[in-house]
Amino acid sequence: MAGGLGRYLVRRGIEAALTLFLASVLVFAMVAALPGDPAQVILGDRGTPDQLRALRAYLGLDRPLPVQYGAWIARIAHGDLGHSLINGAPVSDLVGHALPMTLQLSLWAFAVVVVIAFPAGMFAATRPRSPLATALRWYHGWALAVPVFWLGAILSWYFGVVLRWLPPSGFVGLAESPSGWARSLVLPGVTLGLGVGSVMARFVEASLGDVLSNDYVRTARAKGLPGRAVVWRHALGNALIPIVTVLGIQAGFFIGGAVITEAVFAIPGLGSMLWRSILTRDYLVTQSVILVGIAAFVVINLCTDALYGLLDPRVRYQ
Amino acid sequence: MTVSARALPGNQLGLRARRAARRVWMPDAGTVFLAAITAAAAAAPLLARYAPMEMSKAAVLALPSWSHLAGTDQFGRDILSRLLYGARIALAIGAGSTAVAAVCGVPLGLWTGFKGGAVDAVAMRAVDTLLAVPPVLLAMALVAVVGPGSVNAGVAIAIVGLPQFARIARAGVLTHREMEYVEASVAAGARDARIVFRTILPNVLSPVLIQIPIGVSRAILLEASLSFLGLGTQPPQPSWGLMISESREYMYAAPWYGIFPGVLIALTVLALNHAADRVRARRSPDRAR
Repeated sequence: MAGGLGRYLVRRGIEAALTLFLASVLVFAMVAALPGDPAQVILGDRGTPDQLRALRAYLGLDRPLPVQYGAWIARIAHGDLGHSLINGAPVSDLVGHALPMTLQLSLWAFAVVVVIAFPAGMFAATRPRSPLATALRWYHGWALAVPVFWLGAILSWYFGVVLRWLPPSGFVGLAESPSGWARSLVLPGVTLGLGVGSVMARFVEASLGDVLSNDYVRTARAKGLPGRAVVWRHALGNALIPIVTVLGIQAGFFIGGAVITEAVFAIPGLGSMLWRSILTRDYLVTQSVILVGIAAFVVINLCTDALYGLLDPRVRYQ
Repeated sequence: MTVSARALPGNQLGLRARRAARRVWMPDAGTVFLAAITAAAAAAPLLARYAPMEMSKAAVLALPSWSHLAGTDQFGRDILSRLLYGARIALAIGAGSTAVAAVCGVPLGLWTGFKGGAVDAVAMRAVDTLLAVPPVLLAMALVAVVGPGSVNAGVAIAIVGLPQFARIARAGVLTHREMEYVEASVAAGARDARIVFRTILPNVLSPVLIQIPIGVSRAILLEASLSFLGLGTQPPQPSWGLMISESREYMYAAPWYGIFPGVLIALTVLALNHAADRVRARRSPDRAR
């Protein structure tokens, strides 16, 4: 039995590695595809002839493309993600500094998603024809249609500037002030989590509703188990399986939404870094952050796949 | 629902009448809105009272009034006119990029699904890789390479949307490829292309038709997001996303400036998603082949 699970995990791991490899080729092509001499394009007007020569040597532009790619991968393996062309700082340092903030924002947004999705989804699944369930369905439609940046702008303006309950922008470190940290992440967390929360709420409702119509649930009810026990003990566990997988897919929208949310609330995380690097044509930073973003998505999905494999015994027998 | 007396024996006539009634497609609020916004976008040059770029030093950040129904922005430009022209940009890029994605993606999916083997494996690997990149990130990466602008953003959005159409078309092919009417076509000596187009394509049509409004709504959100970040439509063009970005500085003095474009985006996306739901509902029980 465990062999089946092991095979499943290995297969998923190989697929993830393959996807990551192909994605890295895509990201590498980003800079290689720049029209003209990449070194010239990257440095633009900023470069002295010496810097141009140094950059060309560093990128290995005189060597064939596959060799360039191999050298790039080797550099990444050693932790060398290149240097920012604006301030010369090593990209790995910049990423190391920005990543925790993005992770903390994501944590808050994830909390918002859970707080919205499970109560709303479970309620709608157990009482599908109630007026509240209908109202929720209507609300979810809106929550998905509202652009993330607009929601952020409105929340920031209303709660930050008009009511002055929360800071309209900026990030306060946890070490500096726990309450300040929490207050600075509430609005961004809500902005990022609201949309995904509704997607997940719909999915929880569908998944749980599906499970609740199954025969073993009817058996449990016939046994005389109270409704709540039926839902929590028998139904929810099985409903969780596809929910976990969908959450992994939603991580993609999360990552994209984080870029926008950080831009709106001026949080100096990875998203802001990516945005600024594109505006300033800091190509090496752009390339590295895109790669980190894709890698994060692939790893998250690998983890949810593993979790799925652990939760659903049927997987092991494939 | 009234049942005519004639419908009683076996309920044949009543059933037919009810089926026919279901087939008639009644416009609802969402459809009306989509028709209205499309018409407004198309007729923008006629409907807009002012040119979208026409500045006026006299009326800067003016409250909505009879002369400026939605107020003016920081340059004195009429917001309503800019919203109308913004609708043109949103719909043009949204529909245009989705059309390109569908026209390129569906045949690709059909072909690789039908051919199978190595061709299919390689193509699907590429498609899955593109789908493994979060959409906003992929669009931003593409724009980083080709540069900002409406057209570039449109192309990037088309590339982001293409894999989904390919996947859907391929799934449709895989489901129907083994069916008897296909085998019959092969036995009759039909060429590959003919088999694909005549027998498989009509069955793939349903999921593709459902994906189209979803694709357009995602494209509109993506274009607005890119423009908000300054990577899409460039000023002084009146993209809704760009207007929201510019309005932030003046939110305190003129909140309507930022609220109107956002509401329009939300309504349009909502109407499109609702349309997709309707298409899905209509094509499932009635038309299942």
